[in-house]
Amino acid sequence: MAVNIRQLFPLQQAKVRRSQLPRYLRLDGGRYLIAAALILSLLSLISLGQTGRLATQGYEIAQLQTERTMLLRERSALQLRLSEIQSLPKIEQRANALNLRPMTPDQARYVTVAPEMRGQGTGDRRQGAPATRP
Amino acid sequence: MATRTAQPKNLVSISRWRINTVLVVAVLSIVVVILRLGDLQIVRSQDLATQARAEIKQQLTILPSRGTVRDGAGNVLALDVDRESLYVVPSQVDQQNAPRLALMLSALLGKPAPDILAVLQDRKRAWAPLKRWLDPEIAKQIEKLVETEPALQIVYEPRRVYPQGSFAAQTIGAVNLENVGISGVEGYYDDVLKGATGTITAEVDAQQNPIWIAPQQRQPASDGADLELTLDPLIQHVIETELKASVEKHQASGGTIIVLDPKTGAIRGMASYPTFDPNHYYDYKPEMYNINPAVGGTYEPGSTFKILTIAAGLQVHAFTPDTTVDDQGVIDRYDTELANFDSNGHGPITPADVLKYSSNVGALQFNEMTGPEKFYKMVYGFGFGKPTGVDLAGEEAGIVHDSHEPNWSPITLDTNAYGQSIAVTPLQLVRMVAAVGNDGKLMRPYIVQKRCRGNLCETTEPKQDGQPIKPAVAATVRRMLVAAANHYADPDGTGTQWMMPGYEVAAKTGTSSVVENGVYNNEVIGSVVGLAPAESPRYALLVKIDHPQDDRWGVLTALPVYEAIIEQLLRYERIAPDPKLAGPGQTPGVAYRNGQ
Repeated sequence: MAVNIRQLFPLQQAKVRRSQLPRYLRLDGGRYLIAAALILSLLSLISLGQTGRLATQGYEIAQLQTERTMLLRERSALQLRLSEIQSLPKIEQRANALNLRPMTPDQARYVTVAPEMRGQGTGDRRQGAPATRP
Repeated sequence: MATRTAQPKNLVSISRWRINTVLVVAVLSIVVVILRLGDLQIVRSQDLATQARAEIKQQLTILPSRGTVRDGAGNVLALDVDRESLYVVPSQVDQQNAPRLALMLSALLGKPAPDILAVLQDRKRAWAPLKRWLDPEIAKQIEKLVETEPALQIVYEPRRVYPQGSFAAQTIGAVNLENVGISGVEGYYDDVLKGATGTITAEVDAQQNPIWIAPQQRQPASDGADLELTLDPLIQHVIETELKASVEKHQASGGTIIVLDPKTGAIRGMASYPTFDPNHYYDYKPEMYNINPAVGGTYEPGSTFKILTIAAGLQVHAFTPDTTVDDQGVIDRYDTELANFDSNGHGPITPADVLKYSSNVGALQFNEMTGPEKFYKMVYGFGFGKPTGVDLAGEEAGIVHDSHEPNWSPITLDTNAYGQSIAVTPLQLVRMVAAVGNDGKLMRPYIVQKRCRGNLCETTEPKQDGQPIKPAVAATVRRMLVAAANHYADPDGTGTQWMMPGYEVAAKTGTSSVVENGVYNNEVIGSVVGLAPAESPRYALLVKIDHPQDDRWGVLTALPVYEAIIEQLLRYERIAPDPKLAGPGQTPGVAYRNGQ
């Protein structure tokens, strides 16, 4: 008859186990494999994290490019509206609506500015400026 | 007491064949998996990898933006705007719902419902356009519809827009539906304006966004250059308004006005009528948007060509300003009777009188003194018979029959003297007059004064194409033209009336006959060319009115337009009138209104 006898002294057993710990840390056989797997996993995690960050930034860039495109479209639309408003036929229309009328030739008065006074005040480099009759 | 060494009481018994069956099934499964793996990873690996790459890796096109065109004051004349276009994927259309969808789209797009329905039901096409370049208001309504109809897709496409409509239309030109310039500045500078397409070759996701973790090849797009034209918006507006009013008043078939800077050759204004709207060029006949009459239409210049006849003879010393010839009103040459426009003679006349009275008989006699060799050398020297080199598409060279041609007849020299049997473009003629105003220097006309790509700009430098006449000859001819201009206001020759009171302006009129099927018909072209002011001119001007119905000579149609324009241009230039240059009853700065 075989009998399994175990010593019932937990502290002493723990002390014994601690003294035997280095035995478990010796790399041999399967432990090499486990260590390699752990290192590989760590590297994969780092690579995965980097890739994920890059992909996220790539999408952020794509979003910014979309925003840029939308802003450029808006800019073109505003430029178009400005051009239409600035066109001379439109200005003429608005002037007529405000009861403004073109100056007639006989209404023009020419003022000759003395040479020494040119470049002062108005900065008008032409010989004279037409003035309308009050 | 049970121990480890005791034998179990109940033994589990499994038949051998069950175990073998399970084993065989397991082995077969593993073999199938291994075979499949081998097929995918080894046998078909290349094909599958290529297929995967084709699906994931794509080349995306980056469209460049077409350059903007502005006038000399910076106002935008042409620009690209992204507009929404509506497309449909017919295979995704619910066919039961298609008629209702077609009706809804018909109301929004303004197209017949049956046509739209035909597109929705055409399953052979993977992708079909319903309407391109929607108006923004319509696009907003369509966007709401697209949210509920997955078969409808909205795509942004660049659209060339001309915000000022028909303003300077023939000069700017137009682009076709493929965004290719077909006329005018758009056509000539198409390569510069269109830019270069870019590409991105990369792995993409389902939304066609590049995936940045994979290597990419990127060729950036290069936007087109922006152009700034020499056109002055106010001058352009004035000449377009005056031209339209005159053509409509006199029921003419059309007309052209050109304003040129004689010192540089810059085109300050170029208008033709009738005109077109480049935003809808396809609604007009091709000759309307393909041809700019100012550079692409030729005509016989008539008496305006006498300016060259006189200048040429003076330049080669064939005669002097005091030389006279006898003008009897009619003359015989080579069995042909050649006459003045009214067959009236003026007796002994000088070169100045030829221009003042517009004497055909006088002109041809002076031209005979010059001789064909020297005359045609001067004709080519002034740029006739070849394109001016202006940067506009569709320029014609004109037609010059010189004495070296096999069928040339000496009578051609006589008729050429007063602008017949020769074909010129309006731009060639006004450039000739500009040379007279520029002390004989012939400048190359140009329409684009600046090209900018980003912050890098290139300015056009004025180019001189020659010096056909000396400054002294040019000055003499200018004096003659001033006298010719004032003759219209002062036919009695009192010397007290001015065409443009307060100013010396140069002008010469011309009446051209129209050739149809090789013979002259009854229609005429009235034209005026001139300089304002005559000395140190700011502008060389040509007014040409085609086939006025109520003016036998055409001149009385063109002359008032010329006067109205120079009156406004001189005021625009703020050149004060000289009260000494106005006669009794004339107001300085107010043009004498010929024909009114």
